[in-house]
Amino acid sequence: MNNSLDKVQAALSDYITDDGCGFSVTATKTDEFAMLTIIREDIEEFAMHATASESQLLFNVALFDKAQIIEGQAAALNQMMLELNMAMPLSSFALTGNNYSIFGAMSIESDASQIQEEILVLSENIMDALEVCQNFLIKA
Amino acid sequence: MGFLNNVFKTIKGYGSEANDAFVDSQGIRIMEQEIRDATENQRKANESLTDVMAEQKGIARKVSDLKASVDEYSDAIGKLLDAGNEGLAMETAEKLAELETDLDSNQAILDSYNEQVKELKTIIKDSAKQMEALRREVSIVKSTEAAQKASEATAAQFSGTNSSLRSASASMERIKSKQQKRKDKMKSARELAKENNGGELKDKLAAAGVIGNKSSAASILDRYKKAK
Repeated sequence: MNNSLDKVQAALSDYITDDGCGFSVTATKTDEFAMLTIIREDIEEFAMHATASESQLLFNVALFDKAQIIEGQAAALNQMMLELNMAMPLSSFALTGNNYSIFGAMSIESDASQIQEEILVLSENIMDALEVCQNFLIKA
Repeated sequence: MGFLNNVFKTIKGYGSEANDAFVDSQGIRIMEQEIRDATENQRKANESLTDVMAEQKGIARKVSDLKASVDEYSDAIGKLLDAGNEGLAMETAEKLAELETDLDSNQAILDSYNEQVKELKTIIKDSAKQMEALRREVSIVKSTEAAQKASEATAAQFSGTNSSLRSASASMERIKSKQQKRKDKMKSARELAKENNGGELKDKLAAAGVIGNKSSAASILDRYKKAK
């Protein structure tokens, strides 16, 4: 499984977007858990976390937690996310515990260019996703 | 029950436990044990199938032999009666009665073997399906667990606590203005580079038709023609 994450790390090491943005990748490895933290240069507040299982690579970006939703708006926000899920290219909305995120999943057989595309599109989806969600969120 | 439904129950089950333990290793261990059990069931069913099929073959042979004998003796009785040999026909009929009883009981055994083979094959197919579903489930739960851990790690990284993320809307505004600045910077850098290369003057001269805009195929061809 760690091999798959190594593949991701290698795919991103020299990769630069058309806008000239690079990605920094940090690996976290413990006995039971391996993860990459991928940060796009111009969206450093929202890290993409890569994990691998036997069959798939998972890229997850935590967007906000439940505490940031305007009171009484959670149901409307959830419905909007479900309605938009199909329209969002390569990524989907998710809720794990208290945290809302967008994620992309792909086969561990994916090659470097497919991984690059996945990461690029996911990173581009971050701002779009936040944009549509912001009306439901408490303004800082 | 569908496997997503199972996953949902697992998530809900673990989610309600203290400390927000999402899916502990215990849950995965239970499913992995289920996979091992299903594998063992399948292995046993495979073994039984081999045994039963061997017996089934033996009985099938016996049944077909008996059928052949029954046919043979039935023919003989007809012929003996035609020939008026009633005594021998009677003797043959007694033998035939024995054979038919034997055939019936063996046919019953064969039928039950056929039934068993069918059942065992179903068990093997079902446990294969079950294993496949369990494997998928374990993989999904592991992925979800990984995602959960990843998401917790992000939360901790930015807020210093496990409970909340930094304000998403504030971060978004910061990123937007940063991205705009970056764009502006790149634009002015491009303009600066252009000026340094005398790009602006060249553009003006090109527009006035004084210098060629770019080397074109036509201009290259002209050059060769002149050289000749």
